[in-house]
Amino acid sequence: MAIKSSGSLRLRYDIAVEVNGASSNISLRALSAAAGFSKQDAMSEFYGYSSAPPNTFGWLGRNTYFRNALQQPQSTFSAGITLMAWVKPNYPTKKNQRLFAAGGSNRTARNEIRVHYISSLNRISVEVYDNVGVRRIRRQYPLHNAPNVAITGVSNSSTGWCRAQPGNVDPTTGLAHITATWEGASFGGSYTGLKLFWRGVELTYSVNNNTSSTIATAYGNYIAVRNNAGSGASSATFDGYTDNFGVLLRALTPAEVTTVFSKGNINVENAVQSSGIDIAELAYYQGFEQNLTNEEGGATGYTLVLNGSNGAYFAYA
Amino acid sequence: MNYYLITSQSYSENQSGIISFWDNDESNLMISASSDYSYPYSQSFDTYDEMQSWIWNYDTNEWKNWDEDTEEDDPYGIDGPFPEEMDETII
Repeated sequence: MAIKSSGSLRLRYDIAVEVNGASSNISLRALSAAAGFSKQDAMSEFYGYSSAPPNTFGWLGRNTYFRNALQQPQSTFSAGITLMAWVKPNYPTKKNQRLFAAGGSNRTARNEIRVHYISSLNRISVEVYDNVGVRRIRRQYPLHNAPNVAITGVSNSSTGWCRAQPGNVDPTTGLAHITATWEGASFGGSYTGLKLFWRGVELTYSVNNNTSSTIATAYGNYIAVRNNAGSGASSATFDGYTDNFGVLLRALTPAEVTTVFSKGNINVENAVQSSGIDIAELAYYQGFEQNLTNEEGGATGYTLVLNGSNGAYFAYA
Repeated sequence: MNYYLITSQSYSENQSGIISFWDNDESNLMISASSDYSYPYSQSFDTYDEMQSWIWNYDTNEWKNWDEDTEEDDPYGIDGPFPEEMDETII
């Protein structure tokens, strides 16, 4: 959170907390240098200062998605997973929309967790597939039924989730924060191991819930945003805005999801770190800041590449 | 740029246009190409939106040929009511 823009400032409890978290050997010069300020030093330089990287751009496209080309270790998500992104559909009417996924193959649904919007039913579905690509665990969340509708704002199921009805979004950037978590194979095959959050609030009503006696595992070979991990481009590839995509190595608790969301549409590494979550648990983050390298990182080493060409980085107004 | 619905065979023979995506059984695909595209096609669309509107027409259900997640259309419909037995265990 940015330092206040007026009033008295304390070196340790206001400035150091934001700049570098130092709790000893604190000096104004060291903090100014860490923040990139040149001499002469002044406390007032820190009014409004934020250590968060800028969030100036995002991705707007259709028929374009991002996935790593080089496989990563399949055991990456053995302890569960969290997938999150800021999104908003831009197609004028409702259509199926693939949000994000992680899986064992870039050609099949093998060991995949995928999250996608089903337009004919106005639901977001969260699904886990086994090692031969059979869906085993699932929850489908109607966006327009109570109590979900109060959270999503997607109240008209005929209109659906589309440009005309994006639902409850961030007032600053106009995007909604959507998070899916799965407790992983050790939790068993119960659908209750899956959770979906809209702007940091859990959607508690789900239908078509599938529990499985077959233990499925989400492999980490591939992660994808705006598409499934194991599918190529389709008519359901996400059409709209995407920003600040993140993947974590375990299921965040509902309280943690809420806290990360409360940081706003910012760099996911910064949001996670400032939420008190170990940064080593962040497998991947992508800020879409004019290219895929300016704000890409994470513990696992994923490098996402663009598939398709029908899109561009957009600047927030 | 226009969009054309063509067969896989046509694409393999002519290799013209930019592939947008395939249908579920990969027998047809959508390509983008200029308005003077001269090879055989089943249908043409002036814009991307027009092409997607043709697919996502819920009266024709054409979309079921273009998205593999089509078995999601449960018998209780969009508004239910949803019975408890919707929750099932997959053996």
